[in-house]
Amino acid sequence: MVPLAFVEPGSVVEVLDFRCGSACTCRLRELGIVRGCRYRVSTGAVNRPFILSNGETRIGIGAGMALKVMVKDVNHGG
Amino acid sequence: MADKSFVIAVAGNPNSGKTSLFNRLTGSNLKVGNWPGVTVEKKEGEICRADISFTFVDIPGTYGLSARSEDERIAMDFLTKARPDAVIVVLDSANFNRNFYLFTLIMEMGLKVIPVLNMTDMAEKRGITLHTDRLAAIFGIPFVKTIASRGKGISALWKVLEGVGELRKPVHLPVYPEPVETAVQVLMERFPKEASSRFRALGVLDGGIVIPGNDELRKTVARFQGEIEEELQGEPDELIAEKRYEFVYSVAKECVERRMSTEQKVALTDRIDRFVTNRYLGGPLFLFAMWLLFFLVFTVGNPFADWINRGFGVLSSFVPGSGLFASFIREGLIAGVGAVLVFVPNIFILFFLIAIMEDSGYLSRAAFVADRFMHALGLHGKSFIPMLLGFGCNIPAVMAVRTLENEKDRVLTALAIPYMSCSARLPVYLLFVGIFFTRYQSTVVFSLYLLGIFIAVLVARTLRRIFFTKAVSPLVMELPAYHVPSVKTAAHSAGIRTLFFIRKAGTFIFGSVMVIWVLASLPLGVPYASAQSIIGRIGSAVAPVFHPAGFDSWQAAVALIFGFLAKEVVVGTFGVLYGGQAALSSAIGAHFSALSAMSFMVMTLIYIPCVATIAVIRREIGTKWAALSVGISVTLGYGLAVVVFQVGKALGMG
Repeated sequence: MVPLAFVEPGSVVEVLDFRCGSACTCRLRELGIVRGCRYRVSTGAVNRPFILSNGETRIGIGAGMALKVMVKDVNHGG
Repeated sequence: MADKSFVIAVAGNPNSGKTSLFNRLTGSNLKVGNWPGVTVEKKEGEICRADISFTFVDIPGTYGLSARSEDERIAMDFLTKARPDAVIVVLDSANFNRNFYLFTLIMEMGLKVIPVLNMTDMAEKRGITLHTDRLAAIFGIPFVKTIASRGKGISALWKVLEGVGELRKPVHLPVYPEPVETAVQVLMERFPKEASSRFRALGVLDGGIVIPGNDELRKTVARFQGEIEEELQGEPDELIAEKRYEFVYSVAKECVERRMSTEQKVALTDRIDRFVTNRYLGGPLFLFAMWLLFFLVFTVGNPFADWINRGFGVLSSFVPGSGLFASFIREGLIAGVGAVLVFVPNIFILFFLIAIMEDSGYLSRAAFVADRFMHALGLHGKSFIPMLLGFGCNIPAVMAVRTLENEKDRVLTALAIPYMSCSARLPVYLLFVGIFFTRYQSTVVFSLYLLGIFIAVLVARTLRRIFFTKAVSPLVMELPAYHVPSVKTAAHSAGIRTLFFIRKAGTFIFGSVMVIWVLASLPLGVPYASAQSIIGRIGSAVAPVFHPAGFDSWQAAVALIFGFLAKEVVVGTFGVLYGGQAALSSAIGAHFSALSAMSFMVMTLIYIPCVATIAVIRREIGTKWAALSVGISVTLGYGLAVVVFQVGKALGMG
């Protein structure tokens, strides 16, 4: 389990946990980021915002938030 | 005459094409206002069809329904308290799961729902097919497919609407594990009169609904939450959300068919994203986009603005005579109200281009790129757009704050905007630097712009610290798919907002103009705006106040008072009071020194937003904040003008 912030672009991640308050967890959830869901990391780096994609859906996550979303790197590769 | 009447709410995720659909249904029969007590735009449209009167209410676009954000609270309150006869839920077909989550919440409210699967063309292109027959069979209600931007499927939707009286409620809803259902059954009885009692019971359990000051209920809820946590080993809010998503996934599995998605298209979106959000390119590209927007607003808008201006000039020349009434029409009505209406082309273009950028999908990327920088300034990424527009004119800039989702960001941005040096202040700088700083004109003017930005940032940061200590809105946002924007939708939304501007700002300006004209004309017989007029006397009375800032002529005081109406008027006032353009330079040279000219320019930059800006701030974020804005700017403007003059004098620059 690592924070999203440390995942390389191109990886596929599975969301495991959230290290933030209920309001922000709720916001993530409404946008479809829930435990167990899988996203591909389109862009992002430490201290930079991330874009997660799933089909045509794109979710932007700020640099600070990326440290609070805990994920598992499912399949590293292009 | 209509036999029956129905109130139909239109709900949906942002970017689901809700606005296009709403426009298709209501045409031009629109009423735009604000939701009570807040500054979120409320659109209503009334239309008669098949002897039925329909009132459509556009509720804010949201991803969920809880009391955690303002838009969601408004949507939730309207649905649970006003109880519309039915809710059209607009779903983006290409993003079925996430959109269906909101639909599930609305179904749980126990309302009649009309699901509209919009943008089916986009979904098809991406290899997604939605089986409406299966959906209809599962839920026992019709599902309508539309492409609202092109008007497809609207007649089918009207058929469903015409039969709304006989429409059934959906028959399939999420079922929760045992301890949750038990709690819901008990809690539902606490909301006996509420038809949305199931939704509310779930809401108090998952914390999405604030429990009204009822200690006993609060204890009961806490007890249930404890039981659920113990039995199911998880937070109730997460368990409930997970069940809802399971429900959504199960429906999607049955009814959504995904062929291999067109990889190429996805790759293109990613490539564009990689480019526009690139660490090094993203920023400059964003600045260029903003510059282009700004450039177009003024270069395309200004010729039209000039025509309007000339039109008012011609109009004014048709007013015969030099009597009181003629003067009122010319100097009061035409000059004053005209000064505001001149901005209409710029405002229309501004809103049109923002709508185009929003529709294309770029605006959310731009906000994403600017977020880090703006965050350091205590503002949201999207605040950048209104702030930049403030350089052109503060009025449309403040109006643009409504594109921000969060009340706190709207307030802070609206309060920071008046320090962005608008184009009306430029003539004042030009007049003074031309007389006192001939060798350093551009440096002096540029430094005033920088001072404005510095103060805007200072004000935003300080106010955030005082008023909004807790809430830091985290950046999580949907980045909608890129697509070719609809000119028609953009023109429509720009048109509505422009009309709103003409009506509100126009009536307010009209009132202010009357008052100022009367003060400048009385007592009867004195020359218009002379020392003997009431305004001249007020100027003389106020002038000593400006002594510490180095400019204490009554004309300067009057110029600043008139400048409250519109800052260009500062120059105009000097023109009138010092006897025209020719005498202006020598008169100002005699009344000011280089130092007092500098302090006067600083004062003009900061001292007060013009009356129209104050009116717009008041409308957008409320009277209290508008008053605060005036208070801060007057204090800061005067204080800094005094500091500039006194420090300069101490350094021997007087």
